[in-house]
Amino acid sequence: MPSDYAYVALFAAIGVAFIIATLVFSWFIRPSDPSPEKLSTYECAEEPVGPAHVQFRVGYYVFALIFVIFDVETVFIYPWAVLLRSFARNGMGMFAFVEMVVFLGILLVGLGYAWRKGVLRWE
Amino acid sequence: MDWHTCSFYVLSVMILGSALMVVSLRNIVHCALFLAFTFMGVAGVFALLHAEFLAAVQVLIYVGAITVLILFAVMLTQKTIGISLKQTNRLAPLAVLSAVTFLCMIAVIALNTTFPTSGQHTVAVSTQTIGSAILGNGSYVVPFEVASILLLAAMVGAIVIARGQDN
Amino acid sequence: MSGDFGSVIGPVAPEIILCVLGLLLLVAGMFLPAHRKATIIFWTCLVGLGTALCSCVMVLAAIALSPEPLQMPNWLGATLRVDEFALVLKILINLATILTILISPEYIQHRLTAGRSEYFPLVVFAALGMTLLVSATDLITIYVAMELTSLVSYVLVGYMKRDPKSTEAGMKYFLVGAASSAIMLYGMSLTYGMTGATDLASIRRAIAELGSPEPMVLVGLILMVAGFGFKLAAAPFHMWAPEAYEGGPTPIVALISVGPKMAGIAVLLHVLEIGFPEIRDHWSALIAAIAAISMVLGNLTAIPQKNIKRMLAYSSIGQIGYILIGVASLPQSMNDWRTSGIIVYLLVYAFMNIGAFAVVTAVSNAGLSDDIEDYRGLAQSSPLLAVALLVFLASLAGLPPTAGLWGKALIFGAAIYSGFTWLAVVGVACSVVSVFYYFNVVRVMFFLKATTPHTFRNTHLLTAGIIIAITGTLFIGVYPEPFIAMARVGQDIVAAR
Repeated sequence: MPSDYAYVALFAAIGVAFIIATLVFSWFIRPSDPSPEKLSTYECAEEPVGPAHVQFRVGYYVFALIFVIFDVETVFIYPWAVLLRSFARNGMGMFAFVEMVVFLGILLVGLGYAWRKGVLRWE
Repeated sequence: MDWHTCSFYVLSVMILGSALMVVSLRNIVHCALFLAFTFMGVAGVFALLHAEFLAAVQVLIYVGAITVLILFAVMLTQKTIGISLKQTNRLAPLAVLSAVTFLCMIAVIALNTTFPTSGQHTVAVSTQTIGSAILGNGSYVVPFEVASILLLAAMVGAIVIARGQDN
Repeated sequence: MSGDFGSVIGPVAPEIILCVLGLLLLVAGMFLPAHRKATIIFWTCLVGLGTALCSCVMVLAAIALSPEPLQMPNWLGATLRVDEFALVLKILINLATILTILISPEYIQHRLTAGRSEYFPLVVFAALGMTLLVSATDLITIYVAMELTSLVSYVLVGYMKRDPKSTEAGMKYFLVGAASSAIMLYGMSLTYGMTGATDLASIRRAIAELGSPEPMVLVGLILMVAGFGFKLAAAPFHMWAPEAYEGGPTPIVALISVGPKMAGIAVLLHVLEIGFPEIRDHWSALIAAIAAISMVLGNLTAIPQKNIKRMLAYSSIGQIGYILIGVASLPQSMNDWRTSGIIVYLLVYAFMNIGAFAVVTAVSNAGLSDDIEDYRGLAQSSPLLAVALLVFLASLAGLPPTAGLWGKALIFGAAIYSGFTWLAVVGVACSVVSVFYYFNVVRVMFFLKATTPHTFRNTHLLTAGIIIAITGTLFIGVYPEPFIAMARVGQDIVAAR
């Protein structure tokens, strides 16, 4: 197993080194000639208006929250999917299946609720 | 020091350092980003213990989803972004004192405790182990199903609290 | 799956009914037409809770009448244990939830601007969490069920979004609750690290194998008890309670002042008696200390309170102190009369505390504030409410002929019998102190003249809730024998099956 992680560590190290090297390299070869236009924030070539930190709508938050909940759901489904075949071989397939259907059914009610409440509508 | 111990210490420094940043920086967005680093470090520790599934979950849920959620929460709150926030109040020394006392106590006890460890060095297939713990007959079926109700209640509660008028 | 359907899900029928009920109410709230919604949801909720209550009684009867221990379905594993003790508490929790639902409609009509249709399903989910907690015998189940209960409570306490106090209460409750969950989880992780098990019976075996009590086991237990203490609002973990009680919607406060306490006491008993009987001396002293601090602090801080909900909050901190005396003085063998004191006290406490909050709800429905000052002359403007509150406060103080007397008598008797005489003395002294602040409210109601007369037009439902609570309080007070006998059925929570 150590060797597998050695590859991961190697990839991570190369990734970090690449970014640092690129930045340092461009730092050395680029000319520095600042002007007010160059220093202003890039906003699709428009004149930037107001600060970048604006208040978001609460809709984003509710979306993110629903995302987290279904993310957690995925985490539970993954080992279930890995194991379902071996459960079926032991005659426990129906049990595991019903279990997951109940789990998903309960969360489906939640999705329906969010839908019905208009949380998913984006105006 | 072998690579295992070495990477453990590197990860520990990463976790503790970023966690310290989370509770001491004055820009709340930076705090949230350092929180992601903390979560990454914890995922690294899980990977080190050969709990690959848990490490993946940690990255997927905590680094991916929770950090984004926190950032959205920060962004929808007015008057917290771009200003310098003081994270401590006048009770901070007392809090530090009690935390350090607790740390010392738990450290002394932990050093004098022999944890009963299993002879098995590593759990070979963590995904299967977790899966059968959740799904297997007579294991954690009840908490698994209750977790879905918990998630549902959390979603309904958050929507009720976060949204304005009833329609 | 083996066996017929009834034996597969039978023992957990109350939980399944509550779960289905909650989902049904949620779906009903989404699709029913707006003008009919409130009525249909309310009555469905009431009928559903009644069904859950009946199913608890039926399972209890099945267990009590069957000659051999009832076979638990395989799939439950070690996560849940359905025994007489758990079922008696489940009946109480369902009863408390029904009373809460009865006193709710008018209040939410007045106070809530949003989320009226989600209110009932959320209350049902809270009840589900509590019923699961009372039979949970596995740390993970305990944690998940406790989070379900707590999460719903945070939302419901902060439900009145237009009211800054309610929002603040919900926020504080949430922050303290989240921190306490973290502490509890840390304790659970240490326990798991030391024993390698999450179910309480295996934890007990592992601790017995360790031989001499390792300090780390003790630290794990202390941290868990601290976490449970937060949920019970026992001092010194009580700081969220006054804020949450003052700011939250009153019917919800009635529920969270009773339900989580029952569930928390059940969890505490299960963890201590099934998981950690080997270190009884340690936890007995710990619980005794928490009980003493709760009683003294709760009762003394209640005296200067001007707001009746805050006063009742501190009073409930004192009450949990009395109940914890019962836990501290548990005997080696649970097959003992001393266990029944806890159950009787919880039963009595459910009636009197929900009753008191029901009267507070009625008064605030009439447009008055929660200040004790506003209760001036209540005896003239609404004799029923004043007499009801008198009964509930007398019972909370433990005066005859109310039920509170029996709860206290059994608990203090158990303490003396188990060698905790000092705790019983503290308890009696605190009860005497409590008479002072409880009867201050009575004095205001009966002997002061109202500044402006108010008319009370309460719905039949609220009146019904109050009358049920009065009946319970007085009936147990004058005729306690069957309840003590019933509680005795629930003694064998550690009976080795």
